[in-house]
Amino acid sequence: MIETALIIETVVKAVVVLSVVAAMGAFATFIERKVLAFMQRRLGPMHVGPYGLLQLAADGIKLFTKEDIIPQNTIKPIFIIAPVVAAASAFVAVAAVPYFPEFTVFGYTVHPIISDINVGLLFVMGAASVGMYGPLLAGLSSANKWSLIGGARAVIQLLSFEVVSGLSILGPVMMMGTLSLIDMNDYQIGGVSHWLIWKQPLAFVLFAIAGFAETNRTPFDLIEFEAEVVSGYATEYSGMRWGLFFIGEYANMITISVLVSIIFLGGYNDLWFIPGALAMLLKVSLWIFLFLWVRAAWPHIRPDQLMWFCWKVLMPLSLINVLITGIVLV
Amino acid sequence: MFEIIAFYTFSILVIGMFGIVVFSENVLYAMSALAGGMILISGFYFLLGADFLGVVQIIVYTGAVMALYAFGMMFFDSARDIKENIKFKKIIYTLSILSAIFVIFILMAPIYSTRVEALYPTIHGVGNVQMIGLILFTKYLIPFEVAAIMLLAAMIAGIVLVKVKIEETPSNIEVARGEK
Amino acid sequence: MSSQVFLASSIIVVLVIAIPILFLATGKLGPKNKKQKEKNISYESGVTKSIGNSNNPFSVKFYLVALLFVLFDVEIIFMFPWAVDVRELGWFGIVEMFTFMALLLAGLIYVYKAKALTWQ
Repeated sequence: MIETALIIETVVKAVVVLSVVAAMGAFATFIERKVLAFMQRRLGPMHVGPYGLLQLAADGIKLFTKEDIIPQNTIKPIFIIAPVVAAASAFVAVAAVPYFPEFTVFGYTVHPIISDINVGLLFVMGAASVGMYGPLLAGLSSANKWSLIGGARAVIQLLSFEVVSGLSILGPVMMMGTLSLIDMNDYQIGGVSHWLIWKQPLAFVLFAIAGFAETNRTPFDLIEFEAEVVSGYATEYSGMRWGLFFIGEYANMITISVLVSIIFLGGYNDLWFIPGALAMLLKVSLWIFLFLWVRAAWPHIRPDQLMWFCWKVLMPLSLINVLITGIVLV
Repeated sequence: MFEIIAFYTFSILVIGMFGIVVFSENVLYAMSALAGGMILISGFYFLLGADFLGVVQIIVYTGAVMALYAFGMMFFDSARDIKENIKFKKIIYTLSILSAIFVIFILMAPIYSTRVEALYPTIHGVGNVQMIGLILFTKYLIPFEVAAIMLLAAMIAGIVLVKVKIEETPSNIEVARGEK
Repeated sequence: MSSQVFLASSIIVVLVIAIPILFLATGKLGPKNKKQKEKNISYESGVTKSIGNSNNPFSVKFYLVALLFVLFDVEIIFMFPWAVDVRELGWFGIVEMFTFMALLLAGLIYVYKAKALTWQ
C-alpha cells in the first residue's frame, strides 16, 4: 500500500515541521528580547532560569491559562476565525518549503519537504496572500476603531508589497527557468560564486525589503505601531487568540528567511567545509538576527512614505530589473 | 479512493460556502464565505494535477475578494445586516432558475456528445507552467494581449468611478485647520 | 504529488484548528470570567463608553490600492509562465511581454496622474 505509506509519511512530516517551526518561532521571541536588550545595553530577561531561558515556558503558561475574553459588539464567528486564518496560512506556506538536503534514516530516504510541488514558490506566495485575511477579518470583526484602522493599514501594506515581491522574484525565476524551490537550490550547487545574489543584486534587495514589509518588521511596522494605533488589528485580542497571531507572524519570518536563503544565498548546498543542513540553519539565523538588528537600529516610517516608497520607488525598480534581466538573457 | 473522498469533501465545502454568500444577510459573513469558497476551489485544480492554476486561483481571488472588502468598507458599516429590497420577486426567481438550468445544459452537452478530452493533457515530467508559457505565447497570443488592454481599461474605469471622491477627500492638515 | 500538497495542507489546517481548541480548554484553568460589563466593552484608550460608530465608512484610497493590486497581480501571474520559458521564447517573447508591460505601465502612469496614490 503505497498510498497509506505516503499518507503516514505526510502526517508525520506535517507534525514534525509544525512543531519545529512553532518551537523556533517561540524561541525567536526569546532571542528577540535578548538581542534587543544587548543592543540597548540592558540584560533582558534574567530571572527565570539560566540567562532567563525559562522565561519562554513562563510566558507559555501565562498565555495558555489566560482568560478568554470576547468583547461585546464583536462579530463572534469571524472574530474567532481570524487568528486561526493567520496562523494556519503561515504554517501551510511551510508545507512547500524544503529545509535540508535529503538524508537517510534506517535505510529510508527522507525528503525534508512535506510536499514537493513544481510551483513551490508561487504556493508560498499564495499562502502568504491568504494570510492577509487574518488582520483584515480581525480588524473588521472587532468593533473597535483601532482594530479597523490597523486592519485597513495591514491590508494596503501587505497588498502593495506583495506586488513588489512578486515582481522582484521574476528576475531569479527567469534566470533559473523554474518555480520549484528544490530546482532553485540545485541551480546554485556550485558554491558561493554560483549564488544568485551576485547575478540579481537588485532583486535581492527588493525582495528583502518586501520581506520586511510583509512580516511587518520594524521600518514597516505601521500595522501594530503602539503610539499610533494601540495594537492595530490585535487590539481586542488576548490570551491564546493573540498568541496565534504572534506565532503566525514568527512563522512567516522563518519562511521568508528560508526563502531568501534558498533563492539568493545558495540554499542548503554545502558551504566550504560546512554541511548543507548546518549552512541553512546559519543562514536562517543570520536573517532572523538581521530582522532584530534592523528593529534596534531603525525608526519606523509614516504610512504615506510607505506607499510612496512602494509604488513610486520599488515598483518601477523591480520592473526595470525584469526588463534588464530579459534583455541580458535572450 | 483518496481523490474521490477529497473531491466530495471539497464540493460540499465549496457549495456550503457559496450558500452562505447568497443567503447571509451580514456583509462580513458573505464576503468571508466568498473568500473561503474561492480558496477551496483551488483544491479541485490540485486534484487534477494543475498546480499552477490552483495557485493562480488562490492568489488572484484572494486579491479580488480583498478589493471587494475594501469597496465594502468604503461604503457601509460592515457589521450591520443588509435588508434586500427586491421588488419583482417572481421575475427574479424565474430568471435565476432558468439560467441555472441553461448553465447545467451547456456544461452537460459536451459530456453527452463526445467525451471531454483535454486539448493539452498534462505531461508527467514537464511542469505545467512551462506548457502554459509555451501555449500562451504561441496559440493564445492575441487573447493574451487583449487581456492586457482589458486590464488597462479596468484600471482606468476603477479610478474614474471614484475620481470625484478622490478630489473630495480633504487632507488631514486642512481638517485640522478647520478649512473643510 | 499535487494531491500530496493539499493532503499536507489539510493536515496542517486541522492541526492549527485543533491545537488552539486544546489550549482554550487549558484557559479554563486560569481565572474565571466574571462577566463584568466594563471589562468587555471595546478598548478606546480608557474611555468607559465607546464613542460613535466603530465601523465608519473608510477612505476611498484603500479601495484604490486594493483594485490596483488585483490588476498588477493578474499581470504578475501572466508573467510567471513567460519568465519560466524566457529562453525558449526568445526575442519574440520579450517583445510580446514588453508590449504587455507597456500597456500596464501606461495604466500606472495614469494612476500617478490621477493622484490616486498621493497620500496626504
